[in-house]
Amino acid sequence: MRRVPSLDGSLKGWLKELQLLKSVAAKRAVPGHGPTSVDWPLGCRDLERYLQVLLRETRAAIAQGRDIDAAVKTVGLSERTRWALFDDYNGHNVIQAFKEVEWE
Amino acid sequence: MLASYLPWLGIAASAVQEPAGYWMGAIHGPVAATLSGGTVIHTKKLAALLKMGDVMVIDVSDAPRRPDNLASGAVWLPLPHPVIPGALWIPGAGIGAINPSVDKLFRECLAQRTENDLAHRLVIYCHRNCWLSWNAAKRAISYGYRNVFWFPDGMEGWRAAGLPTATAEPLLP
Amino acid sequence: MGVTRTVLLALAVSTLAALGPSRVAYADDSEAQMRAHAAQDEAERAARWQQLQQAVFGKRALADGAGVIQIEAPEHALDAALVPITLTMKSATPIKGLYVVIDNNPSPVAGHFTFGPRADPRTLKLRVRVNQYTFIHAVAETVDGKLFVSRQFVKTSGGCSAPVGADNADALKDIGLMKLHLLGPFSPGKSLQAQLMIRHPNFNGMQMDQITRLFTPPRFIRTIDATYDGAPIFHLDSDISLSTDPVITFGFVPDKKGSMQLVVRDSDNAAFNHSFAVPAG
Repeated sequence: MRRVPSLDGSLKGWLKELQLLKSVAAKRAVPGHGPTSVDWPLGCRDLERYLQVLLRETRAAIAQGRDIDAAVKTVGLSERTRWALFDDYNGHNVIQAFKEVEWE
Repeated sequence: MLASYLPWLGIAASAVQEPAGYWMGAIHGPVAATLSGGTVIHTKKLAALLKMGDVMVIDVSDAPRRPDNLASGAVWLPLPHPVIPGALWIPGAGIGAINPSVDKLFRECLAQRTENDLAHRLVIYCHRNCWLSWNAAKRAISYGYRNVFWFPDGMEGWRAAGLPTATAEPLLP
Repeated sequence: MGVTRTVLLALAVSTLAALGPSRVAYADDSEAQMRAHAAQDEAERAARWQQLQQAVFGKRALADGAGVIQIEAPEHALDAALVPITLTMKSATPIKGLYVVIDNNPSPVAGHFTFGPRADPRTLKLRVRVNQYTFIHAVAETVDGKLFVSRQFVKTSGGCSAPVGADNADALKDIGLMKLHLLGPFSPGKSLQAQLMIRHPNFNGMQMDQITRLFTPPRFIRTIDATYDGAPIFHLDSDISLSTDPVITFGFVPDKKGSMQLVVRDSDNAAFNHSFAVPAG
C-alpha cells in the first residue's frame, strides 16, 4: 500500500499539475529514468482521487460551518484504508486544504 | 520552468541521494546518507573523537533573526542555543545559496582556528533531518579541508545520548 | 520545449515514485520525540516560564486559572505554522484582557487582547505558529487587575521557518482583504460570535522563499482594532507568532443594527480598513 502524500503547498496547484502531467503522459513515452517498476499513471490516479476527496470534503465542511479543528477530524476518512500512514499525515493535509479553500 | 513545478508539487526528488551541488530545497526533511569527500559520524564515535582533542566543531543551525519593526516593548527572547561544548556557532554557513559575507566569515573562522591546516579535523552539525550541516560540510570540503566529519544526528542525537551542552552566541558577519 | 517536457515528465515520474517511503514531512513523530528530548527538561521549561512571566507581568502574581480560563490546543499539532487554539473564559468579575504566550517561540507573546465595552470575551479562537515543543500559557486579566493562568503543552516544530507559500508575490496580492462571518442569528443586545479572516502573510523574516532561496523580509500584523459603531470590541497587539492569514473568532454584543469596523496595521506601517454591516446586508 502506497504511503499517503504530505501536502505542502496549494492543493489546487497539485491538482492542476497532475492534470498537466497526465496530458503530457498521453503524448510521450516515459524515458528510461526513475525506477523500472514505476506505476505510472496508476499512482497518479490514486493521488488525484485522494486530493479530490480532500477538496470536495473540505468545501463541504466549510459550507456546514465547521471550524478547522473539527474538519481535521472528519475530512478524507473514506480514504483511510487505502493509504499507509494515513493517520500521520491526513490531518496535516486537511489543514493545507482548509486554509486555501476557506478563501474561496 | 522546471524549478517552478517542484514547489507546486511540494515534494523533493530522490530525497536521500546526495545532490551534485548544494542542497537547495527545503531545509527540514530526510537528508543524504553520505557526503562525498567527507565522513559521516554518529554520536558515540563523535564523543570518542572529541576526547582525542584537536578537533574543531561548528554548529550551523539557524539563528532566529529579530525582525525589524517589532513594537517597542515587544518581548524578543530566542531560547538560549545549546551547542556541543567548545563548538562555534555560525548560522547561515549551511545555506545552499550562501550569503557572501557569511561565506567569508566561515572561511576565515576555519582558517584562523585551524591555523590554515587543511588536514585539521572538522566536525560540522546542526539538527537531525536538517540539510544545513550537510551543505556546510560540503562547503568546508570545497575550501580544501580533507578531514571533514558530518554529524547528521545533530543536537538532538547529542542530547539523546545524555551528553553535556554549553550555550553559545552566534557568530555573525 | 520537447526536451523540457521530457525532463519534466521524468522528474515527475521519479518524484511521484518518491512519494513512497522517502517522503517525510516534519510531523514525523520519532523525529519530533528526538527534538523534545533535545529541547528542554522540566526544570528548563519552568525556568523559561519564570523568565517570561517576569518580562511580561513583572512582579504581579498569577493565580491558577482553573474555572476562569481554559486553553484548548492540539497536543500533537499537525501544522506548526497553523496551530488552532481556543480560549474559554468565565468570570464573575469582567475580563478586560487576555495574553497568549508561546513559551519557546523567539517572540513569545503571540497576542495581547484588550476588550472593550462591546466585547463578549467568553470564547476566542486564533491560529498561531509554534516553533518547537512548548507550553502555551493563556493569562486572563480581570477588571480589578487580577491575573489567572492556564496552560497546554503542544508538540510540534518548525512553525517559524515553515515557508508561507510557493510564491511571495502571490502572498501579497490580496494583502488586507477581509471577510467577516457572523456565526449566529442577530438579535439586539444578544452576544454574537464572529469570525474575522484577514489576508496577510505575516512574514517573520525567518522563512525561506522557495523560489529565490532568500529569506523573505519580515512584514507582519502589529495591531487589530475591532469596533462596533465606534465602540471598542477588542484591540489586539501581536507580531510574528500569529499564523499567516489570521482567522480570529470572537464574541461581541451589538446593541442594535449597525456596522463593525476593522483596522489592521502592520509593520510596514500599512493600515487596512474594512466595515461590515451587522447583520450582513
